Amino acid sequence: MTIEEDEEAGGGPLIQFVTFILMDEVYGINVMQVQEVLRITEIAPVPGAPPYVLGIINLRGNVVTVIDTRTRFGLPTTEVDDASRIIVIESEKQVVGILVDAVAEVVELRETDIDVAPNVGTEESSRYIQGVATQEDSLLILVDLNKLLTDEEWKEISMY
Amino acid sequence: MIRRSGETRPAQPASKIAEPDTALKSYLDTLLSEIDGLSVAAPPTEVKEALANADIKCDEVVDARVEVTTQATISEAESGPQPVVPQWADEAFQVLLFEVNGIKLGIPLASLKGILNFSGAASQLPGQPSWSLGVIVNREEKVVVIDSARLLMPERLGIDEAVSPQQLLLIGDGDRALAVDRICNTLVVDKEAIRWRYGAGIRPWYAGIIIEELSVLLDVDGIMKMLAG
Repeated sequence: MTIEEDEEAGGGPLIQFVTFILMDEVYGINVMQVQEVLRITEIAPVPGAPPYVLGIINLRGNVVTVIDTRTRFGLPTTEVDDASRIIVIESEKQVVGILVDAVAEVVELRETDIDVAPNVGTEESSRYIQGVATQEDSLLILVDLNKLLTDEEWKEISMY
Repeated sequence: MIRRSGETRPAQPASKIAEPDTALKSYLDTLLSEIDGLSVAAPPTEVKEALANADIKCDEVVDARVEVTTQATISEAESGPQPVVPQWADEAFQVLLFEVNGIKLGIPLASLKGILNFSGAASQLPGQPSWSLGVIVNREEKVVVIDSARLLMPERLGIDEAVSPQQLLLIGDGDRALAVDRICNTLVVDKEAIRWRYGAGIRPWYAGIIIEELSVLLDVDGIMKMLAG
């Protein structure tokens, strides 16, 4: 069996996702968009920033804006702890960091493993959900990072 | 079906992709592993001790010229807005660092007309804008005191109410003053040490970020235009 046949039989090529935790739910982002995973470092608040922007960090001389993923997802905020991580990602728009409760693992999925997300949230909060995959008895929520912010919001945070 | 990268996959014919798989797994494992060696490591103990023992005075000038590169974002790589570097930044310049509502900000020293202590007492005029704390008289000149927190960071009002402005930074012709909580120190920087704003932006007071300090550098001309508008 060729690789192509194997992919076809298995439902397409394998896609790898880095999974992270937010309020006990597991989310996944395409590994190709992940640049680095950082421990919590000094996050400097910036004046005039929207509520979902925690601040900025100095990453080897580069200024990277850090997004409070909990706030963005409409979840209650919490104190950072030893497990908290900043995932530095590269979207279509720019490089940003997203603060998450913890980084879990890397999982491999085929396109056929990904289902449409059940329509339970508001359009605003569901637009950045790419789909869901069943993981044992729970769901892995796949996030489309390019839609994490609107074009206007990407433009706004690019100021920092 | 979800497979963790460490799991054994179903039997597959030996193929040429075995090595790249191993390499990718190794890369991913590195991403998820402990990252003690990264640049965010805490400073050495001796540096912490030296800083703790340092007697930093407000007027002390610290040469903090640094060699850094600005962030290369995707949008920047395209033919989008270009960084707005003011002419006065062509040569190294001094910046005064201060705090407002717990946030450290910087202002080019060349834009400052003076620094005054502020007791909090100012004459209130009817109909004054929300960002005005009132009017004081300095050397027979009337000075409008600006509530910097309300003007620059209204979203943070109430976060650090315990601190009240202690100093005034005179700007413009000396007829406007930014009320600040605390003056920190001064730096000498060159334009490469700043991540300048791109395009006009929606915050006229924002000139850029002092990268080493992670502090916003204020555009005094922009502030004056805001106040005039």
